[in-house]
Amino acid sequence: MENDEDLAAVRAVVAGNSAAFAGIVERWQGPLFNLAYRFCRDRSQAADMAQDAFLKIFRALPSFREQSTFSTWMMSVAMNMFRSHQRRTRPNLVALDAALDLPHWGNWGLEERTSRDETVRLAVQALPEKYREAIVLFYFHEMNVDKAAQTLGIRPGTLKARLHRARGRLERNLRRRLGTEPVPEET
Amino acid sequence: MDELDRILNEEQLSPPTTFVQRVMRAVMQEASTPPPIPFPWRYAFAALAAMVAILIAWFLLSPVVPSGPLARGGTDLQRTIAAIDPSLLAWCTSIGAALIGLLRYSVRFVTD
Repeated sequence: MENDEDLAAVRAVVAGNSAAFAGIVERWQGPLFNLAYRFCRDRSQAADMAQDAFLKIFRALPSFREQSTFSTWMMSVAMNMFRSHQRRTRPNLVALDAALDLPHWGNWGLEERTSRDETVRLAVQALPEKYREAIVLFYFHEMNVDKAAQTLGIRPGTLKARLHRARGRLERNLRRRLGTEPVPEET
Repeated sequence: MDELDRILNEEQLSPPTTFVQRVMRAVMQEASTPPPIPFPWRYAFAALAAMVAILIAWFLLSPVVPSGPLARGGTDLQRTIAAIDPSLLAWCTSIGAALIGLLRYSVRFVTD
């Protein structure tokens, strides 16, 4: 149903009715804004990135061949944009050594928990690009491997392998710095 | 679900309230901008072909008197090559190179 509405809007836009694009923006503003936010962790920057993504989607609409669902195609276009944006601007890499001057996992108050959660999310930004994208897309798609793999244009098996390695790196970095039990090095 | 899953399964944020208007303003501005002028490949190739044809015709038809040892002997091709003024050849090569360079540079500013 959602795809039907999107397809109708796409055809109207391609036929010259640019105002029909508003329906697409209304339906997809939330997902695109949230996806952008997960890449930059800044609301204002996320709004700019999402706007740029919508503009790119608008320009690219005539090339949409309806071979995949509109949402998959749109997410791929947005992902490419976010990826190149992140390569252009210096990524918000967290200096884990400096940021994680925090107590043990078990002894956190609410404020510390919030701070720790944000630190963990920032730590995702410090991962190499392919692992970061795997983690971001997997959780963005509510842990749906197939959808995340489609958006990234890779096979589900490849995504699972990247997720496994990404989680390993993430947990190892965080545990080592947060002072919990050491995790053996990956071989 | 472990602790890492809980943390990374963040709750959804809402975009700014004026987001749709803001995007649509940009979209309508984009739509009202005339599309970039496509590069006239057909005319460019026609002009290039005409230029090459003129150069060839000039070489073959110009009344150049061959000089030097090859003027009296050798094949027709050898006599023709010997008849070409080196400075003319240099000029033609320079013009051709400049033309290709300009063509490649101008293509950067247009779309197909």
